[in-house]
Amino acid sequence: MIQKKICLLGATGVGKTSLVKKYVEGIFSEKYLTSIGVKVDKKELELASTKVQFMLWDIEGIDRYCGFQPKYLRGASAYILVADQTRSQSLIEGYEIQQMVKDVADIPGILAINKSDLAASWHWNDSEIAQIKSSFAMSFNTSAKTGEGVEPMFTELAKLLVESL
Amino acid sequence: MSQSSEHNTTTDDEQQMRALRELVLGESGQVVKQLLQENARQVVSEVFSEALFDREKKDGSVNKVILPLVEKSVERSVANHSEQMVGYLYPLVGSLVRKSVTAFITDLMEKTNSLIENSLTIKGLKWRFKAWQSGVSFSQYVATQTFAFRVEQVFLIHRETGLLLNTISAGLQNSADADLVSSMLTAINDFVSDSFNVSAEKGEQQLDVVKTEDFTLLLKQGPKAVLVAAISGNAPQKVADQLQLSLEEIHKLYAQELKQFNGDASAFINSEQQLRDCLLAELKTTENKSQKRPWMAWGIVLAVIIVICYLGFVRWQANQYLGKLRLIDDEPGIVLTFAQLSGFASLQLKVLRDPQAVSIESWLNQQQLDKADIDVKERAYVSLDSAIIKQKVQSILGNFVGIQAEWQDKLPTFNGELSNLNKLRLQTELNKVPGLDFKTQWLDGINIAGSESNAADDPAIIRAILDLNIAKLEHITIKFEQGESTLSEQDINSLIVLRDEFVNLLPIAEQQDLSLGLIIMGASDATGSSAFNKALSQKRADVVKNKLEELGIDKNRLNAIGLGIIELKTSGDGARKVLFNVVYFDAT
Repeated sequence: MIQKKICLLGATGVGKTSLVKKYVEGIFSEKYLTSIGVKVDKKELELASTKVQFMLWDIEGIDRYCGFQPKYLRGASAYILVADQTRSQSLIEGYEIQQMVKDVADIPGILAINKSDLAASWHWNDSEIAQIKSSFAMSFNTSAKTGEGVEPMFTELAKLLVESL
Repeated sequence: MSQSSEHNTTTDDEQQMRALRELVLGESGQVVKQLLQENARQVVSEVFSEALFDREKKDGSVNKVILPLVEKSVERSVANHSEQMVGYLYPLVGSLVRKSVTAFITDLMEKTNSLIENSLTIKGLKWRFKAWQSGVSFSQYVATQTFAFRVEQVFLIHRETGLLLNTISAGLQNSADADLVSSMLTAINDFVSDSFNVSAEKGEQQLDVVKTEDFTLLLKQGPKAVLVAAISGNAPQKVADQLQLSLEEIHKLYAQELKQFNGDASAFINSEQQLRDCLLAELKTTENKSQKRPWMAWGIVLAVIIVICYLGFVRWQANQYLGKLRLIDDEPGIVLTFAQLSGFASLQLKVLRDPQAVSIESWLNQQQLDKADIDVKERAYVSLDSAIIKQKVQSILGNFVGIQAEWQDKLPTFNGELSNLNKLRLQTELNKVPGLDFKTQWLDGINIAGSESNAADDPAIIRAILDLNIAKLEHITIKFEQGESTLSEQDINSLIVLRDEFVNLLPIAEQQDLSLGLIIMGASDATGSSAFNKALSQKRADVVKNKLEELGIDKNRLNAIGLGIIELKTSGDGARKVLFNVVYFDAT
């Protein structure tokens, strides 16, 4: 079994915690998020070649005023940046977070455009989004509410990480 | 010109070199090859082991090549020389099995022992209560009470990623989800080191100990890995020392694996040995333990023994009782068909009892046996025991004042004085006693009280009684098989009864000046010709008549008639019989 540390990043309120809530088998309560800024969940999935266990570090929402705890990224194999397609601001902040991550770690990033169950109401046009997407290894439209795109995202991520070994 | 000569020289040189090479090495290096081939064995054998070692060290390929070969050889050996293989393995397997069985038994004994100690002592019960009170599991509470400290679980964590490399626990199962614990610990460590980093020069702050009232998390940070021990109780310094030693050993042994760790923890499975060294524990007080006696356990064992003894005694008593009960079978008129202990101490009894015999209850009272636990099922039957017959005769005599019975062996004779009528009644009563086989001459000792004034001697009454007895007699029939006219033994017995009845009536009839006659009527069914049936029915009547003569009835009183076919639609088989009719007329 291969274990991988994955960090979930994103602006406050984009639904990082909700995104993994249904997906994982965790035992820690969310109060850890507010006390030390991180909560760890676990998810096992099976690829054709091997089993993969993700340790998902759900890192407290980051905004431009709040500092970024780079140590939490240490040893991570990848990060998932979550944006909210109903708030343009979340993508800007996401872009800033991506820059901060690039400063401390050279790991693949996944863009999760969340709340896909709602209509997109941000003012990004397709070419702008495509450009942002291109700076990520992969991108997915996800919905924490319906679960859409969540499983495929983690499965693809697992494939990416295991095959890069 | 010079150019061409130069060219020629070069060509010559090449040719000469080639010739020389051919001379030394032979054509296409044959000489060298031959030489090498001749000495190949020696050359290879000199460096064989070293070469294997070097190659294995370099890329590990030797192992891969040899493994299938070895596997195949072993497989072949097992298939072809299984007996030898078994011989090789036998001592190994034997000792392995012994060892594991011993370990199992030791473990079981220890567990049982501690269970008894912890469950049955007063202290154990107190602990159980306290554990319940404070909301922790009993085993946890016992651990905190029994051990000064105990390392409950050890985690080996990859420092960079916070991923769990290996973990072992002192209990049977890991209490916490070790993966998550190790990640969260790493996160907390990061949080602490970042939040309280007072001076940047001193380097990173590291979490060393996390402590609650009676629980300690001890962290030892190494360059590549972190060793964490979860300890209940107060951990002494030696745990920290052991953690340090183990951590160093792990770094030494797994330097390469730690450096190249990519998420696959399987490389660290063997680190269990190092982790196990850290599972230290210390009992609280040893002297206290030696003084401890499991009083409760002894009490319970004693109680169990007493109960077993008591139950055994009760059972023994019940068996004795059953033995006494079986004697009821000797009682006349009672047959024991079933006697068994049912349940623990109660008894089940099934008997056949003649109504004349003593009742079960009074028998039990006679024997001074308690009836409380006996379930008696009683069914009536007619006993032929001589004692019962005697009793029955005696009870009949109760109705005939002045008559005594004298018993010789099992046969009675009666004497006394009776009226004719009462004698006849007595005779009838005695005839009814089953198994008595009544004979009229037993009554020979009875004198007839010939008082004319006795209402019982009224001719009309006697005539009526005579008629009654005659009617009874006329009930007797003798049946025959189709076309047969021979008498069976049963028929003869019936005829004897008939003879007795008839003979008994004679004196009474004579007293009334009546003469008795018996008409014997043979009959047959409709099978066959009427002439044949006429003859057959006559023959049947004659056979019966002859038999009765033989039995002592005067032939002048007998008359045999063949009736032929009895033509009744309902008669069927019943028509093949001999019937009797008693007639009387004035003797004068």
